Amino acid sequence: MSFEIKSLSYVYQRGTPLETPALENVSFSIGDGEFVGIMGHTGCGKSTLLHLMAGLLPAPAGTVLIDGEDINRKGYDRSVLRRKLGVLFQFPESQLFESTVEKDVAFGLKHSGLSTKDIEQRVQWAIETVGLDYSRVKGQSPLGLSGGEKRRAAIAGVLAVQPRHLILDEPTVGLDPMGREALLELLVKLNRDGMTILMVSHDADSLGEAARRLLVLHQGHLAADGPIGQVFADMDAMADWGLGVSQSREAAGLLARKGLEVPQDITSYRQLLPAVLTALKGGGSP
Amino acid sequence: MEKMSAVKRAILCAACIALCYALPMAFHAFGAGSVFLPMHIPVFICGLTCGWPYGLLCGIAGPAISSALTNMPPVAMLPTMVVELAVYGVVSGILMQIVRTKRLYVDLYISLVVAILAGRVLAGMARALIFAAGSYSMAAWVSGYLVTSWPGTLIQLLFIPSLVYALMQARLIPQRYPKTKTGDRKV
Amino acid sequence: MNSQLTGQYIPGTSIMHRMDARAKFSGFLLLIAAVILTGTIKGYLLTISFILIIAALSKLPPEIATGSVRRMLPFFFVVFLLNVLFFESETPLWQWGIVTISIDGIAQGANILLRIVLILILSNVLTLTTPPMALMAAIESLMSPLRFIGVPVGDVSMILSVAVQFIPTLLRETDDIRTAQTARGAQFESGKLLDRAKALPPLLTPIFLSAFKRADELAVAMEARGYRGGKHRTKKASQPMPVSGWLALLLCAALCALQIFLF
Repeated sequence: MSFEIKSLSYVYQRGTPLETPALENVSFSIGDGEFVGIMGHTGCGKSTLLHLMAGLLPAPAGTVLIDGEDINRKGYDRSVLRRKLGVLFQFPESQLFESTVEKDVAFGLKHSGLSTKDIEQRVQWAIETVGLDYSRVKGQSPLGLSGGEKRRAAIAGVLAVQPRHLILDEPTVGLDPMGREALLELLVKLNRDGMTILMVSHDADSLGEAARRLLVLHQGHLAADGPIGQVFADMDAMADWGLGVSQSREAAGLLARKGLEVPQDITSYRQLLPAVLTALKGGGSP
Repeated sequence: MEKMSAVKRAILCAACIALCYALPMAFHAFGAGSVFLPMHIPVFICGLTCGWPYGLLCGIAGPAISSALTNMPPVAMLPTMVVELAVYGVVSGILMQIVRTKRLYVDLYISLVVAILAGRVLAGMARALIFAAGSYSMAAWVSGYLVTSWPGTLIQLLFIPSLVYALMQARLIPQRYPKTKTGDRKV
Repeated sequence: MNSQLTGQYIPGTSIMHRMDARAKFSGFLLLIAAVILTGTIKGYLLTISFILIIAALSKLPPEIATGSVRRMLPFFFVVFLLNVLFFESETPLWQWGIVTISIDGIAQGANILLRIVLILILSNVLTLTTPPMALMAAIESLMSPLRFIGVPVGDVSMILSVAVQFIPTLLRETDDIRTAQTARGAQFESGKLLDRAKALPPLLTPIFLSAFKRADELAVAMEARGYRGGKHRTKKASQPMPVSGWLALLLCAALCALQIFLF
């Protein structure tokens, strides 16, 4: 198991008039190589959950196990955690600070003990993986890149560590359609190569395309957990949680209402198109 | 940096004043605390990038607001701190206007070093003559403004010029010598 | 993700919450003067009870009203110790080199300590019961006489109120950046002084970049809407201070006067 979350609770501003519960008794686990989406209305506790899972907030109640180890245990080496768990926050381009892209991407490798040569190779790999031209950008200031390039450089900085697990917070926000497509492709490829991916997002379309499993958080509770097609299938429940589903899922629903027999666990355009063609051709059974 | 409008300077100055409050909080949160003199940094940046009137305001309002909201610095320390920071803001701003060597880093370092010295000397004098007249000695000045503050001074000398450079790279403030191509550093 | 920021406004309906912000701020200044003027035990008894009554009237939970006091305990201890050890007295109890322990020194240490604690409690009450914007408006209205010596009060107060509005955003952003860099493997907490200094740029540079970016966006928006500077700003008509405000000020002034003339 990559992540095992056991009865996790969290309260903000405990003991003050502003006390607000953020998470209440949340439990779930995520296996190696899964691609899991997390959705939830603003203020549902997903950002708190993400911080707790990444060991960036201490867990006062409940446990977080990563690869079977309690990350809040006394004496647990956080630098090991930082190397196997990559975290990409919202607008990650705001973390860029070094004078060159190369140095910035290498930042996470500073304490890794790798040789200069290995670091250089890792950096080149990471920069090329995110689709930037290594020889062009390596000596440039990351601050002078274009918006989309900055995002890529920031992602390269997280990937350079070659983490086994990757947590992303709203990675598609602020990207143009092309950039979003490229990012999702990259994530799917990394996942196929064995990386566990956990993606918190409002963007139902992106989750519909890339994630296979979906967790829904509602007012600090785990409201749903299952294959994304199954969770999206219940559009009424999703609406109750203040969430939308992907456009492809909506289209499947509309088509069904018009009498076309399209399966209702469709989440992405890639599934929708063949399903519609089959339905049109054979009236339901292929 | 003549190209910035008065409104932009004003708002950048506001951001620096807010940082006089936010930076010490951030430093405090990870235990670096006041040894690194976090409140000084926004004042220098404000003076260097927005000019002396804004540097002056930042040097007065930054510590004052922080003191009003959090008691850091404590009210008793506020007057000397205001003198010190106001001098930083004014001197760094004026020098950036006068000193033009065609090399960004040289301009920045001259302005910064003179401002640091002026601020510490004048704050010491203000303390000796006005705020704590009689009970303040040369030894106390040396220990307070030179010895215990060396980590902060080091940070200021190391990072403030490159911070200004980074702001220019990010095109948030105009290039001082626009002909220089971005990317190749002139030092 | 700061759990409880110092000086963060806590909404409420107590007398202190409802008092006019200008009265509260001027009263605050008067009370600081009173604390500094206090010099005798009887005087302290009066000042302390006055301030404790104010703190009680604010209906703030005691542990919050004294939060910053408890956080600074180590600092107080050092201040106290320095005074006790190095106060030059005519009648030392014990002396060794420059180290002198005397009754005067202990009294001096206690005096300074008491002053700091009282002023801390006062400013806690002020900032915990007053929304930052109201505090700024109060300071602005008290500053308006400066116009006559050529200070562009309109511009200055615009800058100050923008600054105060920036504070929550910037605090959140500095926190986000710290978290993000920690996740990337930055180590802020450990190491020697020099290591910790070296760990600062990953924090400092992004904080300034994001603050300047926000400021830049705001400036562009303001210029697009035709903002030209404080002189052209329409000012909200300020309301006269309510009687309760004057009464509160009178009480504070009375305390000052008592400390000067009676004790």
